[in-house]
Amino acid sequence: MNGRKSLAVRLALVTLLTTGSIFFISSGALYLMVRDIMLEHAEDQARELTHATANRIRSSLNEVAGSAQGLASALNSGQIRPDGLFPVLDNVTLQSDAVQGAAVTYEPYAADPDERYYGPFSYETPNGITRMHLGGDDFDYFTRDWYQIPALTRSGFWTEPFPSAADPNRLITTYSRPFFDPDDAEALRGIVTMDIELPALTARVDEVEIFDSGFAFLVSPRTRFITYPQRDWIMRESLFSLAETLGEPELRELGRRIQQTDEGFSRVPEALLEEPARLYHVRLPEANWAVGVIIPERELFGDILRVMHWVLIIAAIGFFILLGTIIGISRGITRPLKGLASSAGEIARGNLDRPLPPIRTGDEVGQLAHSLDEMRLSLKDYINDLTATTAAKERMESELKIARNIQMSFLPKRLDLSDLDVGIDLAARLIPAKEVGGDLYDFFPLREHNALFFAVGDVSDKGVPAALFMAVTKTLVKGIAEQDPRDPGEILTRVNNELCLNNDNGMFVTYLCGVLDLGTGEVRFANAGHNPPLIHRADGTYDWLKLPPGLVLGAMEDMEYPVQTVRLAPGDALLLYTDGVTEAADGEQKLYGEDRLFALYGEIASQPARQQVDAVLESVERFADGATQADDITVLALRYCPGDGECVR
Amino acid sequence: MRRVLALAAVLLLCASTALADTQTLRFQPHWVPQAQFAGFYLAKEMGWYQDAGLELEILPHGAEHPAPATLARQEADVALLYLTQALELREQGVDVVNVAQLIQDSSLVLVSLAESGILVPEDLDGQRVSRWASFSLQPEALFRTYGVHPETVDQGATMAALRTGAVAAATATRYNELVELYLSGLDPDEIEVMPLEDHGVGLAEDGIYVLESTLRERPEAVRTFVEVSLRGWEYAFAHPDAAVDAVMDRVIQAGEPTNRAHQRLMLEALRPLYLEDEALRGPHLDRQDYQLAVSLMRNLGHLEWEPVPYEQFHQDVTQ
Repeated sequence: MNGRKSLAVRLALVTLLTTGSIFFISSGALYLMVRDIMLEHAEDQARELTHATANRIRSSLNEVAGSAQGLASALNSGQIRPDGLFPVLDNVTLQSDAVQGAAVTYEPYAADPDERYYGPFSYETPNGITRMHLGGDDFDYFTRDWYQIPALTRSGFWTEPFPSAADPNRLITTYSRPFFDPDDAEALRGIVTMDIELPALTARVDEVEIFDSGFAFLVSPRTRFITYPQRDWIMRESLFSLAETLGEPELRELGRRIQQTDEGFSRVPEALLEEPARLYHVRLPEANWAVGVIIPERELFGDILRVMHWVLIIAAIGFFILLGTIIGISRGITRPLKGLASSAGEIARGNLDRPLPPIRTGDEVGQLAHSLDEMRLSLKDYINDLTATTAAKERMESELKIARNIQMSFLPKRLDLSDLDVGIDLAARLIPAKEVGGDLYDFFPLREHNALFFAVGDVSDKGVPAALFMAVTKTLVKGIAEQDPRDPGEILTRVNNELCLNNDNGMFVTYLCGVLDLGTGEVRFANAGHNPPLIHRADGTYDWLKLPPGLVLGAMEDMEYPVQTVRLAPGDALLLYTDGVTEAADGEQKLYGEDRLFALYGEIASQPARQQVDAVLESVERFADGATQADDITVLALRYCPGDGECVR
Repeated sequence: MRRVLALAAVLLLCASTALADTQTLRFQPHWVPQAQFAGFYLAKEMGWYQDAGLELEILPHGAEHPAPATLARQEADVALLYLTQALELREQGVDVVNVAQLIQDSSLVLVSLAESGILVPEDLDGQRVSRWASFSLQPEALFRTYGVHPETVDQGATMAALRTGAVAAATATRYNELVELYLSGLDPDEIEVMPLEDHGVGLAEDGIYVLESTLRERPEAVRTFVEVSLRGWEYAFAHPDAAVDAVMDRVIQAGEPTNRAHQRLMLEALRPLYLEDEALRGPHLDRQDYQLAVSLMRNLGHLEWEPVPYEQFHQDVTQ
């Protein structure tokens, strides 16, 4: 079986494709929407956490900056002398949790005209406060950022983290602030610095947890890591250096975004964590540092991915079940259909005896099978009937053919006047509309009276009854006419009375007959409701021959039929016909008509009788132009040629 | 027993001969560990000095180990110096000799933020410009050439002053401070670079220097050092990953807070200073470069003594 044609496979494929597409589109859209929602939630959470962390750091930074500001103000007002600084510095360091070291460094020779460097510095150690002096030939603090930048900008400054002068293993960041001559607010005297140790600051960042593996970190203005889970990056790598080392320009973009925006939620390039992640960052305006919280997308979207995973598994199982069901159903449909198709093929080949396979389902296929079986039986009956009918029809046709032959044999073929010394040119033809017709013509010589009887008739019906009625009429006429032919009116009266006997079917016949005295040319006509004949005089004139009317034969008993006598001169001719000629119709139901016949007769009347008959029939046939012949057509032409009988050919 | 003693004596003799063949040389680089010294680190790590019979000791280096002083005090046998540093030593009466010139051009530039609009030297007039106290000569020569009078301040070890706007322009080397600026997030189009070389005040930089006495007494050791070091540099540029590995080892040992990206970019910035058409440009010191340095320094009053003739100052030991 060809898969492309199999209904089961096609049905399964189309159904699966459709449901699959709908499923994937809807679950894809669902995934994206849920993902967006989760991303929004994560952003909210991350924002809150980042701000909280940033605020805690800021409070420490602000405390340190506040202490420095206070000390600078005291120095500006001249309350503290350079040699009295150490107790003050000790005090600041002790009293503030945030401040772990404090120093005041002076401009060259500003504190002591003999000393280029003057920088008392107190800092916390586990053993208490330790004091030292900053500055010296190997420690030119004037070019240190913490000194130079506030000195030049005359404003506070947070340094990048750096190792403490007291202990290179202590990483500190310093807030420094300039102070000025009490007498001249323009003259810089030196710089106040307050240190905060990084561990104290960053422990708070390290504590931050979000989801399972999300974490927080702190970067310097250069985006150098101040805290980060990867310890060997701290104070060494920045987002910019990693962008170079990892060959990931997007990291550089991220670094610049952190430097340039106050806060934001960004994608972290995969290179950083070796997996996609999201970052929320908040910049600390005081120090220009930034706090960031990173959440791996794996965790962010973990739940939805898990859900989608199960949805896909369930969908896959569902698809298999669906596939099985569809195949089952379509097999259920196609199995009986296959049986039906095979049976229908048998029926098509004409085998109506093979019964259809039994189908007990009440569905459309069952109905189809039932109908098909009924069709088979009906066909069988029909064909049986048809066979019988055809046989009957053939028999009837054969009988009709015989009847036609018999009927045609009634009609005289030719006029034999050889024993009479007179010339008559006479021809007649009858074309029945059916196998047998109701028209008739007749002619026979009446030798005792030296006369010729001729007639044309038309039975009211067609077919076999008309043919029989015609046979009866013809026989009656001939029988009566041969007894006493002198009065054709009398003949018709007698024939009429005979026909009226037992004429239960109400059939009748129009009949026109004439008795031609061969010696004188006198014709005695009697007419029973028939069309008037045409008469053609030897001098070339012609016209309808007006005859007295008479009722059709067989309609009513005891009818009188007047006789009209017409004398024919030698060469005169007559044309008798039935209404099959004048009422012949063409395709548009237009009638041939008497005018057309009249005109035609003018052209053909001088021709021999045989040719006249043929010409009329041919003219009618041409007019009908293939339209079915509705009525029998009969034409009889006659020319009187006494004497030598010249006109007889 | 006598035999055994004799054998031991022979072995001892051999060992002492071997010891005498391996000469120790103390080398003083003139800044903190970084890719500026990659060729030396790499040659040492590959064991090439050892193979050539030289026991090279790379002395601790950084701001607190000034190379001119170490060489003058003979705490180092050989030192890496800028040409100006060497001439200043000569001025102080220390007879240093250039035995190989490594960097023929000046890598010094004045750098400013593009937004401050300092495009030509004239724009520096009245601006605050920082320069290293020990390298003030060339910027001063530039200011004098163009007759501008900026407010000069001493420059520290970071570029924070420039980034925070405390100074309008700062001095920088192409291989270190420009890289630092790039790695602090500034894109090349955000800074304006004014190379000193373009204004006639660029001087040759890193060269290998020894005292005249050292060259006289240990010419082989000096020649070996120079030749192996040049091979080290060729190899470093041909194998930058290996070079950066060697640099990072030193960097981490010394606790320097730099990173691999910085050292890699530094090495790439040094490449055009060291190489031309893939070949080393050194070790010859061009006579004109020497004379330009001398005349600049004399004009600015950094040299008072009559300088030594070129032939005495530079002796290409590889020839």
